Amino acid sequence: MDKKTVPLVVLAAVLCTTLIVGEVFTYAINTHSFSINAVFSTDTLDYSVSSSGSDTYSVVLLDDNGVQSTKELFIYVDENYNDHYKDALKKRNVRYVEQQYYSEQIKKSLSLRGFDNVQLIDSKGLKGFINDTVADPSGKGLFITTYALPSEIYSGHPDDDLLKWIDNGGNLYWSSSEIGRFYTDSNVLYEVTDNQTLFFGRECVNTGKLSHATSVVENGFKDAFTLLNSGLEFAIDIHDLTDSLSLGYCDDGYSSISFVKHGNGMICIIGSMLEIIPQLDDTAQIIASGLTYASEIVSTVKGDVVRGATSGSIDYTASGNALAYIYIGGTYTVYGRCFQ
Amino acid sequence: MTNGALLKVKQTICDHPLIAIIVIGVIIRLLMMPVTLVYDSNYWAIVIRNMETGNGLYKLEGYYYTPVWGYLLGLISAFQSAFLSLGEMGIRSVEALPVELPTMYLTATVTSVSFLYSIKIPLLIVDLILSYLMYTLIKEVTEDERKAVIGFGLTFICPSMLAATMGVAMPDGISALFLILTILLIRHDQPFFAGMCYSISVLNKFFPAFLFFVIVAYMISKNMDDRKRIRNNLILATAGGLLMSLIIFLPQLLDGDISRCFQFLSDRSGFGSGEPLLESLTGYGRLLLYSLVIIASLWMSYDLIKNRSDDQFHKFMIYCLTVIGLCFLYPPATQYLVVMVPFIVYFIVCESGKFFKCWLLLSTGGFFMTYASTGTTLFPLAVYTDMFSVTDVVNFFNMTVTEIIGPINGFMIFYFITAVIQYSGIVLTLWYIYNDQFRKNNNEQSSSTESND
Repeated sequence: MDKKTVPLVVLAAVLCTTLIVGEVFTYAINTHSFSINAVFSTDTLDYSVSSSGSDTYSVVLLDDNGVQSTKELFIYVDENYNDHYKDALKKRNVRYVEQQYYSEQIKKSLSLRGFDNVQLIDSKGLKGFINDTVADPSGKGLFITTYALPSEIYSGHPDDDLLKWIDNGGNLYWSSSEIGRFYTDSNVLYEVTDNQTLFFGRECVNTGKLSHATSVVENGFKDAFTLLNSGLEFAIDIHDLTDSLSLGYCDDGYSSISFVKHGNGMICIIGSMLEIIPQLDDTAQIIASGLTYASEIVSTVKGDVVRGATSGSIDYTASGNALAYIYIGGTYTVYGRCFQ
Repeated sequence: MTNGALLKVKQTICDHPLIAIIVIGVIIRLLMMPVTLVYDSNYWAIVIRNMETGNGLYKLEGYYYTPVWGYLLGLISAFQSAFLSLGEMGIRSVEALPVELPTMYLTATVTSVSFLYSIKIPLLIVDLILSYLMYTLIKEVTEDERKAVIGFGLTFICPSMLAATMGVAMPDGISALFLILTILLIRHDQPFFAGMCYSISVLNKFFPAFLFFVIVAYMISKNMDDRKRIRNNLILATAGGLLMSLIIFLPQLLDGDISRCFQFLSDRSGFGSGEPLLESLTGYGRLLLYSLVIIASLWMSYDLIKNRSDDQFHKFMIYCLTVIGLCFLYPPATQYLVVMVPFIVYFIVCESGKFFKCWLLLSTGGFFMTYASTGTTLFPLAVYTDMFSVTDVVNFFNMTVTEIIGPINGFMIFYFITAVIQYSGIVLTLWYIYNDQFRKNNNEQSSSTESND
């Protein structure tokens, strides 16, 4: 090897090694570690947060006002999604969702926030789940990202199993299409015309051209949970709806996330937009933190933690049960835990 | 500053022009770093977040490219974690929401100035190494220090490069760096390392893949008289390429999600589910063009082997520039052109100064095209400093998108004009090559045939 070649070979070796070191840091050695702890004593919350890097953290102390949140989530993966997608799209606006992938992403996003009680179910599993839990669905959540449900649980009637399930205490989460607009029976797509009235008692779903929010719902939830999703497709306007809560971003009365009480349960509508990451993050934040239509923010604390641990305490009074949601990373949340 | 000091500075620049160019280039880059299209940098923050959660590059939504750049982000992330105190990598700016248009790659999630510096300084180093490799290559070929310094300067202070790496924070410079390093290593008979570097170049951004046949043909033609050497070199190059590819894809192979590494191919081709007809047509158009480029590169490879020239390396470089130029006949984003810039610089210095016109067109067009949405590139400064307010930036952006003639607005006009300037740089390059090399050769051949007659 001549003298002029040596530096080139050394440079090539160094650059290749740099790449391999990066690969090792990406996959083999996880240099990042996080932990959160919180303890409730009489009217005081003591918390501690640690991170191996430099991060922001947020502590959100909530009052649940006696309403039970979702403890177990079932995500419906519609295996027949593509069969009727184009038919549905001809009739109404529908945001395309890769069912399996999106559901897995929700599951992973929840997992990093400490919510691991998640199951993915197909249409057979959905029917079984509704049948098995319709008598007492409290603490259970069902997440729908498809545009049509099987007629065995929903066909646009008040006495459908799905509506009974919500009435009895189930929590329904819906995104990416107009709630309850379609159902399928014997592989045929049917449209329901009074779907909005069925779920909310009046027309309130954004089915028009409004797609993005330009302002914030001024109740502190957006900042407390660092909500990101400004999509308003299929979002609802909760004005005049009692026992409801809107949060995140808004425009023209519609808000990116809305909770509405329905019987003993609730319906949560998550607005959609082209980018799915903000939607995934927000969905995980609101479910992992145990938000409901009755949730109230008692106190919030934000701070920085740099290669070590930090701790603090919050004095509070709550009319219901207090729960604390603590997360690290802010806009780019890396870790979260909920304490009750 | 006194006259004496000025004279001293002037003298220093004259004595050490390379250092002067480096200093100027670094200062320009440091000033440009916070002025950026935040859409991509937001994604780099998401990728870093995903890695920090232990989900690697592909398990959580956010990374759509092959892993090379992701691994460098992994390294940056580890460095940030160990030594820096960046805090939150970005925030959602409510005031910026009115201009959030994902279809135009505009987002209201604004990455912090410190985060931008942390991901762009490694890109600055990439640009610097690439420029130094151009210096080495030109010096080797021309044995002229002055020309080598010019080549360094034209690469390091090329506005297209500045726009791609500083304006968009895209890692195309890595492909260009490893491609030029591949060429240098082949020249120096180091096929194993050349294979490794070429595989990184291709697996970072795909355009250097179109040079595969031309590079192989050059390696063969370089040692035509020694078949054993040809065979050994090709085996070593293949081994290097395969080894590096295997190393790069190992985590995805083990996880069984290798298809996600190539997601950008289907995303960009226009063949996704429910794509409009126009996008499908452009997808087919691109596929057709790339097929023709491969056919052309096969012909050039054949010509490299069959009709050896006195200056075979020069011929090889002509074919490299031709193939890359032909790829970009499908109008490219400015950052893609980073792979083409070093070849143009080579021809400016080693062939003819007229190629400077191509460089100028590509540079001015590409630079201003990148900054066409000037307003939004100022978001990081508006959000994180008191230089101006986000509302001012939004108002300025709205002014640029106010319709002037029918549905056409100022932004569209500016974007179109700069895109045409950039494209004319590509066309002019191909025209010069055709005129100087292909037509000249044909004429020479026909005149020699006539004289023989």
